[in-house]
Amino acid sequence: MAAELPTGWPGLDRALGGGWPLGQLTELLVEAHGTGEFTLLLPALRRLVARAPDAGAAAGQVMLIAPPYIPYAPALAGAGLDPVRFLVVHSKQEADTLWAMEQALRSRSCAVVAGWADTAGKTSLRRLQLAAEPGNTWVLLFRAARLRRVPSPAPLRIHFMRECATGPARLHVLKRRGGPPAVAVADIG
Amino acid sequence: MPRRSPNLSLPFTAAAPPPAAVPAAGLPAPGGTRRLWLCLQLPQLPLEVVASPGDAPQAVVADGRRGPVILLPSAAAAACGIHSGMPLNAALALLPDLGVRQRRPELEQAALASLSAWMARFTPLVNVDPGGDALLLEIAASLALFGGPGALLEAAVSGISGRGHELQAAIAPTARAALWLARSGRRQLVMEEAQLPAVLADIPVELPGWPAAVVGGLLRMGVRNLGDCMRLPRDGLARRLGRECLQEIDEALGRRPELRPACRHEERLREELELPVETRDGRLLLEALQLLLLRLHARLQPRQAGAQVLWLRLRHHAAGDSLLRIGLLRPSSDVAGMRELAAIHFSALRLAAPVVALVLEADVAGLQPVTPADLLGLRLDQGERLAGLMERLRLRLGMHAVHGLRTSPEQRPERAWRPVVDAMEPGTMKPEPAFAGAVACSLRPLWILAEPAALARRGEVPLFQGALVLVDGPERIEAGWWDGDDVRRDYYVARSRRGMRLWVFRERRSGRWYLHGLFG
Repeated sequence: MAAELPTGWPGLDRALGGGWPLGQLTELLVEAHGTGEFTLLLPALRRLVARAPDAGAAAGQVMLIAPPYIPYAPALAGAGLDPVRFLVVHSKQEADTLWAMEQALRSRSCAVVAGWADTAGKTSLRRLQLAAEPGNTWVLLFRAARLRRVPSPAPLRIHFMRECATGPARLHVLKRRGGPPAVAVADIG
Repeated sequence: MPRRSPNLSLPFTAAAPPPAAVPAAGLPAPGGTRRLWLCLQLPQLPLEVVASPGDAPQAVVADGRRGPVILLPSAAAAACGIHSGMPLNAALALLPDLGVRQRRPELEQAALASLSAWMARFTPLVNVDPGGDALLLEIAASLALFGGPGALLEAAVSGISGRGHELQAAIAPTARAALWLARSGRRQLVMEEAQLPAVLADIPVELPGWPAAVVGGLLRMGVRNLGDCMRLPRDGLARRLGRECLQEIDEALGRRPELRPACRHEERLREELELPVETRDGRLLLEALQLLLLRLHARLQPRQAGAQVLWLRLRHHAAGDSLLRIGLLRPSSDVAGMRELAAIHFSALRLAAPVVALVLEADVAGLQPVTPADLLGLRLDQGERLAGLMERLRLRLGMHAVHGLRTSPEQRPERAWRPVVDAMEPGTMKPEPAFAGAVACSLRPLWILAEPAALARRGEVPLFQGALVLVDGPERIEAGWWDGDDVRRDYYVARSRRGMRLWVFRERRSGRWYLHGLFG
C-alpha cells in the first residue's frame, strides 16, 4: 500500500481511508478554478513544506505546472508555506503541461507535482500514473468537472463541488483504490 | 567502431622463476621504491579509429617508399590475403572491394588521450608511449587498492575492450619491458626485475622499433633477439646499436632509470567522432553523442570533476558547422542527464545539411562540494535532480517559463511578490523571513492574476458570473506615489454566485472594479 499523507480534513481522511495517497495519480475534478480547491490542499502542503528551516527530508519542492493563476507568495507565507519551496511552470499547450508533469515525476526531485490540464486524455493520464508509481510524490491533476463521467486511469478521483455559494465544499470520492466511493464534506470557506 | 573481444586471456602466464643464483636480486629502482608497470597496447588502433562498422574487408593505408602500402588490414581483409606492408595496388588487385582508409594519427592520439584520462582512475601516473600505440600505467602503489595485479588488470582491460579496442597487455617492473612484452603479444606478468633478462631474451630485434639500418645490421650478424644482444660484449653492442638503442635495453632491464612523465590532463576537453555515414537523423546523432558523452564522462570522473557547458559542433560537408551550446545548471558528469538535455536540443534542431562529424568540447569544472545538509533541506542528489529537471523544462518551455516565488516587502499587492528565475541558486534558497506585511495574510488570496482584470458592474455592484457579494473590506491600499506607479484602491473579499471567493478592488479615482485574485 502506498504511503499516505493526512489531508487535514477529518471527513476526507475517513473517505479516503487514510489520507492523500502518495506515488499515484490523484485527479481533482473542479467546477471552476478558485472555488477552494487550493485551500483543500493547504493542510497537507503545510505538512510537506513546513516553514521550519530544519524540516529535513520531509521537506520538498512543490511544482505547480500550468496553474490557472499565479500562486501569491505573500498568501503562501501567510498560510505557513515557505514560498521558496514553490516552483511555477508555465506552459502554453496541454501537451507541454503533461510532459512537464511527467518529467517532474521521473526526476524524483519534487514532493508535490500538481498540474492543470483540462482535456488530458486517457493515455496521458496512464503515462502520468506510470511515472508516479515508482516514487513517493503527491501527484495532483486538476481537470474540469464535466469529465467526471469519462473513465480515467487515475486510481483516485475526487469531484470537488459546492452546492451553494456559502456552503461547505462537498467532495465526491468517485473512485479509489481498495474502497467504495464516498462523500466527504470539508468546511472550506 | 568494430567491437572485438579482447585479445587477452586471464590469468596471465607468470614468468618462469628466476635462476637460482641471481646476482643482484632486484636492482633498487630509482628512489628506492619498487615500481611496476602495466602496459596496454592497442595493436589495431589505426584501424579502429577509422574503420566503418560491419565485417566488410577494409584496411588502413600509409605512405610507403614506393607509394601507398597496407599498414593494417581488418580481420576480414586479412582472411582474403591482405597483409601489412603489401602495396595498395597489389591489395586492390587481390580484393577490388577493399575499403581503403587513410591513416589518421590525430584520431589515434585523441583516442589514446581519452583512454589515458579514463585510466587515471587506477593511478596518477599514466603515460602515453611516444610510439603512439600504448599506455603505460605505474601501478605499484595501486595494487592493494584494486586487489592485486590480476584484478586491476581485469578492470583496465574491460574498460578498454568495452570501448571497442583490441588490446595486448603485460605487467613488468620497468615500463619499457612492459611495453615490449605487450607488443610481442606475450601476455606476461613479471613481478621481479631479476626475471627480466630471461623474459626479454626472445624478444626479436625488430620489435622495439629501432632504425631499419640497426635492425638490418644486427640480423646480418645473426643477432635475432634481445638475448643475443645481451650476450654481446657491451662495447661492441654499443657500437652496433648506437647509444639510444642500448639505453633502451638498459631501461628495459632496469639498469637505467627511464623518464615517463605522467600525461597532463588539459582543462578543455575535446572529443570527436566521425560518423560512418552522413546523417540528419536526430536519433543517430544522439547515439553518436552518447559515445562522446561517455568518453567525456570517463575523463571527468576520475578527476571528480564535471562540466557545466558543453559545446557540440556538428560538422557538415558543404556548409559551415552548426554549433550547439548545452548549458547545465551546475557542473555534472552525468551522462544520462546530459544526453537527455541534448535530446531536447536535437528535437528543436533544424539541420541545413547532413552531419558528417561531431565534436564535443567542455571545460572542466569542479563539482560543487557535497554538504550533508544543504539549504534545500534535501539530500543533495535530490537537489541535483531538481536542477536537471529545471534545465529540461526550460529548454523546452523557455527560460522564463519556470520560476520560483518570493515575497517582497511592498504594499502594492502586485509588487509584494516576484518571480525568481535563478530559484535554485544556493544563495537564494534560504527560507523566507516571515512575511512582514502590515496586514494579516489571511486577507490575501492564494491565487493572483498577472494583471488585474477589469470587471463589469451593474450600478455600484461588480459582476463576475453574476453579481458579487462583498463579504469583507474595504482594505485601503494607497502606495507608490513616490515612484510614479500610484495605487489608490479599496480591496474587498467578494463571493460569486458559484461560491468563489474573490479578491477585488475598486480604483478610487475611476470607481472601476477589478478582479485581482482568488482565494482558491
